[in-house]
Amino acid sequence: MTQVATSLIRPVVVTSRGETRVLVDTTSCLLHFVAAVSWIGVGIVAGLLYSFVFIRLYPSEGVEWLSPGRVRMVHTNLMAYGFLTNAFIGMMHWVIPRLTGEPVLSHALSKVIFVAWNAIVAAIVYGLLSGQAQAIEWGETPFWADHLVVVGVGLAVVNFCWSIIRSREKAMYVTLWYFTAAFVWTPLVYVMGNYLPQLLVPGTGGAALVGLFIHDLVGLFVTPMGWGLMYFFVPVITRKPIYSHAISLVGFWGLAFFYPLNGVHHFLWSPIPMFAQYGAVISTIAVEIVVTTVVINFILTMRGEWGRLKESIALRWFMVGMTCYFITCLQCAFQTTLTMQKVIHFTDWVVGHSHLVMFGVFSFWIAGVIEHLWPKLTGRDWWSRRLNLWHFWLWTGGIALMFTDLTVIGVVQGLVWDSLRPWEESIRYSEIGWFLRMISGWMILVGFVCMALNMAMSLASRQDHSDREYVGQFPESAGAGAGGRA
Amino acid sequence: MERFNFIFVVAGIGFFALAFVIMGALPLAQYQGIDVVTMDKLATNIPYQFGELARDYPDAFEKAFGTREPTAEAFKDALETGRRAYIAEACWHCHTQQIRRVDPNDGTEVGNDISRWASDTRLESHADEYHNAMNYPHLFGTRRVGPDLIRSSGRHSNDWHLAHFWNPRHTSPYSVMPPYPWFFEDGEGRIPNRKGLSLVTYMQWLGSWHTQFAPTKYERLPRLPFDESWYPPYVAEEAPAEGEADPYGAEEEDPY
Repeated sequence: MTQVATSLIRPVVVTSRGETRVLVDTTSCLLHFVAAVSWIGVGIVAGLLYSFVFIRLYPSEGVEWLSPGRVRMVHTNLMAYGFLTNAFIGMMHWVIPRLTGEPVLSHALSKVIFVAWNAIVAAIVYGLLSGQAQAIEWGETPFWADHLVVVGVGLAVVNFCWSIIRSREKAMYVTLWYFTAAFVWTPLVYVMGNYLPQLLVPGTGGAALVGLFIHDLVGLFVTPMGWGLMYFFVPVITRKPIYSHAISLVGFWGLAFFYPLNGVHHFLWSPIPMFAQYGAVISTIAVEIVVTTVVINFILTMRGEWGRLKESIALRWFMVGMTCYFITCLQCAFQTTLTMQKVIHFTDWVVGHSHLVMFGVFSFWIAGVIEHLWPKLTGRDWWSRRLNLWHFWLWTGGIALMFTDLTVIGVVQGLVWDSLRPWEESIRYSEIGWFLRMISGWMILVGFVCMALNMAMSLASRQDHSDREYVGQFPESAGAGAGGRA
Repeated sequence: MERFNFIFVVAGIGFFALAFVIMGALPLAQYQGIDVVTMDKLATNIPYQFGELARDYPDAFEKAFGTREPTAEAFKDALETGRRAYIAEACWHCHTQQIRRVDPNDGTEVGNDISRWASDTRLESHADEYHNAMNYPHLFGTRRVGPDLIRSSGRHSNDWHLAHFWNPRHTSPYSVMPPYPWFFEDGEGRIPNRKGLSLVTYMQWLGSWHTQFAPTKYERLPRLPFDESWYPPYVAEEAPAEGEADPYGAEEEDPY
C-alpha cells in the first residue's frame, strides 16, 4: 500500500506519459468551495427564518414569496444541492487526480459544470419560492429542474470517472471505492426518486420509492462522499496510514449492501407492505454495526495522535463530525424499531436526527476540509485562528443544543399525542423547545459569519502560506514508507 | 474488490438493483393489476361542499373555474389546482396524510392515530385510498406539526377552512401555521380566489371516499355487540345508548 500513501500528497503539476501536465485543477476547487460557502450562508438564513414561524414571530408573514413553507424547502434543497454538492465536487477536484495520477477529463468541462450547476441551484431557489415545488422530500426541486440536475450530475460523473478509469494505480485507494460507488448510485437514485413516483407509480408503491430516495440521497450520495474525504484527509493530516485495510473493506462493502435497503423505514406503519418495513428495520440496524467498524478503524488510526486535536482545527472538525455520525447511527438503530416509531415518528425527534447527520456530520467534515484546504488553495494563511476557533465552538455548541433540544421535545410531542390530549397542547409544550432551536440557529449563523469573514480576510491579506507542500514543491518520496496494514 | 469495474458493477449497479427489487418492485407488485382510479372516476363523487362553494361565492367560482355550476369538469380542475397549491405551499411538510395502525385500542398499546382520525367505517389508511390519479406522487408526509388531513372531509365547514387560511389563529388560537392571504381576492379575506377555492375543495375531498370503497375485512366481520372500551373516552361518551339506531349503520351503494 506504499504507493497509496505517496499518492495522497501528489503535487499539482506532474510529469507522466512524457509530458508535464496540470494534475489538480485548483481553480475549480476554489470556485466550488466559494459557491458552497455562499449557498450554505443563504441556506442557514433560510433555516433560521423558518424557525421563527414556530415562535409566531415570522418577520415576513403574508408575503407569498417568503412564505415559511417555501423557505423551508429552500433551506433543505440549498443544503443538499447548493452546499453539499458544490463542496463535494470541489473536494473531489482536489482528491481524485491525486489518487489516480490522472487529471479529470477536461478542465474546461469542469468550469462548465461549475457554472451550469450553480445556475441550476439558482433556478431551483427561484422555482421553490415561486411555488413550483415537487412533492418529494429532499427532491422538492421543480420537475423541470430535475432534467437539468440529471444532466449536470451526469457531466460531473463522466468528468471524474475518466480520471479513475485512466489511472495506472494497481489498486484503488479506499476513498475511490466510495466515490466510484457514489458515481453510479447518485444518478440512479435521483432518477428513481424524482421520475417514477411523479410519472408512473402512484400512492403507496410510489411512497416506497420516495422512501428509498429520501434515504439513498443521504446514504448513497452524501455518506460515500463524506467517508471518502475522511479516508483521504485524516491520514494526510496525521501523516499516518489508515489502521486496517481489512476493516476498510468490511465498512465499504457492508455499507454498499445494507444502505440501499433502508429507505422504507421513513414510512413505518404506513400502508406499504409490512415485509418491506420489517426488511428496512433489520437492514437499518445492520448499518449501525457496519458504521461501528468504520468508526473503530478511525479511532485506531488516531491512536497516539489525539494530541494533534490541540493544534489542528481541521482534525477537530473531522473527529467531532465522526462522533456525531456514530451518535446518529446508534440513535437510528433504536429509533427505527417499530416500537419507538409509534411515539417518535412525525415529531421533532426526527428533525433533530436529520440536523445531526446533515449538519453535525457532513457539514462539519466539509468545514474541516475548508479549514485544511483554504490556505493551500489561496496561498494565504488563515487571517485569524481565533475566528476559526469561534466558528468551531459556535457550530459545535449550536448542533449540540439543537439536537438535544429537538430530541427532548420530540419525545414530549409523541407522548402528548399518545395521551390523547388536545392537539394544541403538544404545540404549547413545544414552544420552549422551538425557542431554543431558534437560539441554536443564531449560533450557527454567527459561526458561519466567522468562517466567511475569515475566508475573505485571508484572501485579502498578504501573508503567504508557508506550508507549500501540496502546491508542487514537495518531493514525491516523502510519504513513502508509511505503509498500511493489509 | 478494489477494482473500478468490480465496484462499479457489483456495489454500484448490483446492490442498488437488488435493493430496488426488494424494497421497490416487490411492494409495487402487490398492486399489480389494480387499475389506478382516474380523475373522471374521482369526479363521480363530488363532495357537497363543492356545491356550497359555487352557491356561496358564485362570482369568484365562475372566475376561477369558468362556470357557476359545480360540474365534474370544474371539480377536476379544482382538485388538481388545490393539490398543486398544497404542494407549492409545502402543507405536506407539517400535515401528514396517513393514519398509521397504532392505537392503544387496536392492540398495539401505544399511539394515537386511529383514535384521533379514523372513522368508524375505516380504521387505518389502506393502499387503495392512494391508488388514484391524485397521488402522483403520494403526500404521506413525515412530520406532524398540525393534525393529519387524510380524513378531513366534512370535519370542518368551508367557512372554517377559509377563516383558517386567512389567519389560522382565528380558528386555532395556539396554531403556529402562517396565514395565506394570497388565497383571497380582496385584502379582507372575504372572497377566496382560484387557489383558495381549490384548496378548500381539496381539503373537503380528502377522505370523502371512505364510505364508498368496498368494505374492509374489518367491516365484513359480523357486527359484534357494541363494546365501549374500544373507543377513547371522549367518543364513548357520545356512543348511542342501547336500543337506539346505529348512526353508522346505513350503507351507501358502492360505485366502484
